Amino acid sequence: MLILDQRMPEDTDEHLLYQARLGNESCFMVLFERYRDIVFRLAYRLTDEHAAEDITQDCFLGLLGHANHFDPAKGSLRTYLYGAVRNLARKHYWLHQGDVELDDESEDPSFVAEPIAARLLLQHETSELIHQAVVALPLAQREALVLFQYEELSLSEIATILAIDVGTVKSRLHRARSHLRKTLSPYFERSIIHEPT
Amino acid sequence: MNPHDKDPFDKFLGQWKVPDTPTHLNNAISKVYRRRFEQRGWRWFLHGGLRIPVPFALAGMAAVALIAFFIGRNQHSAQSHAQASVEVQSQHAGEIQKVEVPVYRDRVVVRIRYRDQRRNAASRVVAVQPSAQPSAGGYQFVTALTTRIIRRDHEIPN
Repeated sequence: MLILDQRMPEDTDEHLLYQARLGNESCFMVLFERYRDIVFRLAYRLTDEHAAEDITQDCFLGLLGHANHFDPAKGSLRTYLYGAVRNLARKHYWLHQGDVELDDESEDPSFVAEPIAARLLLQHETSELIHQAVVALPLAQREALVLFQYEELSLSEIATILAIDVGTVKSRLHRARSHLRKTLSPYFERSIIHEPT
Repeated sequence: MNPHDKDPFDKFLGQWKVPDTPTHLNNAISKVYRRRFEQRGWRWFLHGGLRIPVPFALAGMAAVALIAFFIGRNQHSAQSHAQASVEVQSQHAGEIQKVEVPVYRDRVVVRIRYRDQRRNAASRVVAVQPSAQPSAGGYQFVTALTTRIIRRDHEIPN
C-alpha cells in the first residue's frame, strides 16, 4: 500500500504517484515523461506500434486506479511498469489473436524466414527483419528476450516481472536465441561480412 | 552481463530500432486524465463503494437491528392502547354523554384474595352497588365505593 511519507522528496516516484492519484496533473505528467519511453518501447517490442500506444496509455491510467498494488518495498516503479506492460500485451494478444501461442514449448516458431526475408532483403531493412523474427517467437520467449536483450534487465528482475524462476528465464532465453539464430543466420552472416573492420 | 558486448549476434539483434514515442500521446493522456478526474465525483456516486472493516460493519448491523426492534416494540405498544368510545347516560335524565375510555386490548385478570374471609365475610364486598343505569359495553358502573383496610394478624390492634 502506498503511504505518503512526509519526509519523502518531492521528485520521487512515490510522491509523484501519490499526488497524481489526488488529481495533480503536473505530477502525473512528470511521471509520464519519466517512464513513457521505456513503457512504449517495451509495448512496441511485444506487440506493434498501434497497440503500443494503447498499452502505454492504459498502463499509466491503470497506475492511477491500481496504485495501491504498487509497493515500493517490493521493487521500483520501473519494474512494476514492465510487469504491467507485459500483462497488457498478453491481454492484447488474447483479445485480438486468441489462438496465439503464448507458451514456449514449441521448438520451431511460426516465423518462416525465407519469404519474409526475401521481401525485406529488397528493402534493406535489417531492423524490420529482426522485428518480424522476434514477433514470430512465442510470446513467453519474446518477453524474456526483449527484457534481457533490449531492456538489459538482470535474470532475477526478469524472473520477478514474469513471475517465474530464474532457471525458466534462462531456458526461454536460450530457446529464443536459438530460434533467432536459425531464422536470421543468413542475414547475420552477411552483416558480419559487410561489417567494416 | 551485457549481451551487446559479448556476442556478435547480440550486436546484430541490437539493430532492431524502435520508433520514438509519439508526441500526441502526451496530449491524449493528459485529456483522459483530466476527464477522469472531472467525472470522478459522479463515477464514485454511481459506481463507488466503501470499504468498511468487518467489526465496524457488524456493529453497525447490530445497531440497526436494535433500533428496528425498539421502534417495532413501541409501535406495538402504541397499538395496544386504544380509545374506546362509550355512551354514558348520566343521572340527569335524558342526558347522554360520549366519553373516551382508554382500554387495554390485552385481557387483564385481577384476582382479589381475601385473607380474612371467615372473620369478615360481611365486609368482603368492597363495592357492590350495581347501577340501574345502562352499562358501558356490559360493564356496570360503580356508584358507591366503600373502602376497608385489610391488615395482617399481627397488625390488628388488640
